[in-house]
Amino acid sequence: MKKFLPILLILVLLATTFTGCGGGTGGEEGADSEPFKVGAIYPLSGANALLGNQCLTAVQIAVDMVNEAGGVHGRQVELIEADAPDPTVATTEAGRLVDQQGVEVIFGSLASGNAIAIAGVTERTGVSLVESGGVADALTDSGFQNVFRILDKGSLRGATGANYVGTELADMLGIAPSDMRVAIIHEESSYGTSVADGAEAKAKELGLNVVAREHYATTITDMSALVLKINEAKPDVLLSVNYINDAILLVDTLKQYNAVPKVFMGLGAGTTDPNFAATIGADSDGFFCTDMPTNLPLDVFTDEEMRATVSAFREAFLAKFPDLLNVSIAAEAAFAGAYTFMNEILPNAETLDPESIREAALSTKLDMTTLGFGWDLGDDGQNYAASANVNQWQGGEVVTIAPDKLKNGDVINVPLPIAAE
Amino acid sequence: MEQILQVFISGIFSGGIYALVSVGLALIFGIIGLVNFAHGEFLMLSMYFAYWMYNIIGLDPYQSMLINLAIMAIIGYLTYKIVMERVLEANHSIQIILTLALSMVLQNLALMLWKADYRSIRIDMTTDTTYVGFLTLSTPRIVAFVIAIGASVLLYLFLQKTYTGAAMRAVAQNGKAAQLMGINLKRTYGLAFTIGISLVGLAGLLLSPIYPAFPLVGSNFSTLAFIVVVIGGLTSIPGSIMGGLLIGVVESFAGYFAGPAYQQAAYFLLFILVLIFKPNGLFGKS
Repeated sequence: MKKFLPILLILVLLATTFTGCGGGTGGEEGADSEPFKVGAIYPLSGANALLGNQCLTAVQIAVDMVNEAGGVHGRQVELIEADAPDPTVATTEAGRLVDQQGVEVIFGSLASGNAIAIAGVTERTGVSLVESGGVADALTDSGFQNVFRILDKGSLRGATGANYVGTELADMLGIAPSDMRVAIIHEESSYGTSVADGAEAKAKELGLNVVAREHYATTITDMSALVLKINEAKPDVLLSVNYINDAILLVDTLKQYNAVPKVFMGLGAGTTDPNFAATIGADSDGFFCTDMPTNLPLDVFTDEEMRATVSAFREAFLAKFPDLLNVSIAAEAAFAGAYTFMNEILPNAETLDPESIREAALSTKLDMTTLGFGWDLGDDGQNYAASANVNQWQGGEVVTIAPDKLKNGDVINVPLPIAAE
Repeated sequence: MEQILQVFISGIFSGGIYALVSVGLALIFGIIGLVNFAHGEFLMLSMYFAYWMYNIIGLDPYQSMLINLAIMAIIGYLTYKIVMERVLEANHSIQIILTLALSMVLQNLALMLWKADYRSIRIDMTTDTTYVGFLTLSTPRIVAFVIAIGASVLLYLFLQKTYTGAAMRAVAQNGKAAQLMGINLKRTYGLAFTIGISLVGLAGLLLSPIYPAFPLVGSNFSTLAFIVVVIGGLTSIPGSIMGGLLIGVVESFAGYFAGPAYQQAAYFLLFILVLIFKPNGLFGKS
């Protein structure tokens, strides 16, 4: 037994470290042609594993749907998955999928850092990267030719939140925009920085006073100093870009120091996470979270076929995650990216070589995707038809406040009842 | 001035927890000579136990403290017996690789078994505030600080004032000589490891109402703990306590004056300065 234990330990280590790294495959092979290989790179282990695994499932459902409808250019789609808990592994795994597995499209990546790392690899070989998670501006501002991002980019999301503050909330608070004091807090990755940059630029454009801007690492364990510093600037509104853990720590600390501002405008990720309201409880009523559209009512999809697709996806997804009440925003985006690309873009490509795919991606215009907005890519590969919604937590649910066409509730709690006097 | 004092106190409170995480590490290194890279993972395990005690049995972390301590002591002892005892005589690189491997196994087992979800304990006290004069103090952080410093001081007194403590110090000074004096070396090592793990477990428990549990939570604290231990002089318990408090205060002031983005940079700078000017740490013996 004594000799056996170290061997057992090593086996467990190997098994756990490499779980999910293997090339799982999905889809059926076409009877008379080679399968069309696509890759999915998500964090399947590590801190973002929860959403990463949901995204992979969403892509798998998209692949199954496309295969059922006859595949891509008559070829069955074969999905090869890869686990990328961080950008370094993302680079290696992208290399493996491209060089060894011969994938022609990669779906990813949840985190902006991973997306930029993968783009570096795909660019060299002309493989397409369809991004439906990372919002950092750098991804589409770096001149990559084969990156196509279906969702809004960070700076636009930040601007959407700041715009709502300056144009709507200023009125509701009875403060003139020129008197309004806005503080910005963001986590320091390329994601948080892009969103905060957009928010700051928009706030300044609208004449709001940006009285403080601070950033922090997500590993932060105590936000007292941050909150004390921000509170000195006496902001009316806090524009905040966080992941979930730091979002909760921030709100707890704001409450402890009686420093909750009149408006808390979250800008994606952490503040939209279902755990945000579940953890903070009733006090979350009135907190804003600007993010891409999520869980839209089915009647938004006027096209019958699309409505059926969205409904079938939600059903298939929730069957795999029975504990969830709703499909997560990350999984909805992952599905939208993969499904739209395989179902709407690739059929428009003359052949499946990189140039034809790029041409099809840029020339195809869609009024609606399964995310509720259209598809209209700029030369940089960014979808300029993508938009963010201004949402608000109400009774533990995310309610869409703007834009009007997607609105399903009215604003409450402006100013927040727990705001400092 | 009021604000400066407020920043200082919030730093001291964080520092108390850093101190408690670190004293266990210093104890294990000081007595066994083992660098435990899996230290943070025991903190993670304890946070999960506290979470389950609260969610399944309904005991808040303060009520489940003794049960948690007992569980962590058992885990510490078993880890020592099954894993660590085998490498006591091995060279440092083997010990380091083993504890690193243990850290990865524990992290990945936690990911497989409990998924990557953040699990928070929300008791009424979580966002409670205590006002002392003009100071606003977070109640769970006060409790954590008092218990953390109390436990660290108790450990120090145990080592200084009891026979077993003296035996442990003797083993730390010269294992062979201590053995010749009739001290059971392996039992002393086992006790030191068990106490070290129980202390980091206690730190995890005290953190649980403030900070969520997730598989990689240990790594947020283990780097800090290593820095604290090095600043404190590697094996010194008072050194680890002072080092923890110092890091807490430096972090807090850096966060307030320079911005939270510079907190880590500030304590790494302190770390480098200590290594340059006092290579054996503030409390280390040259």
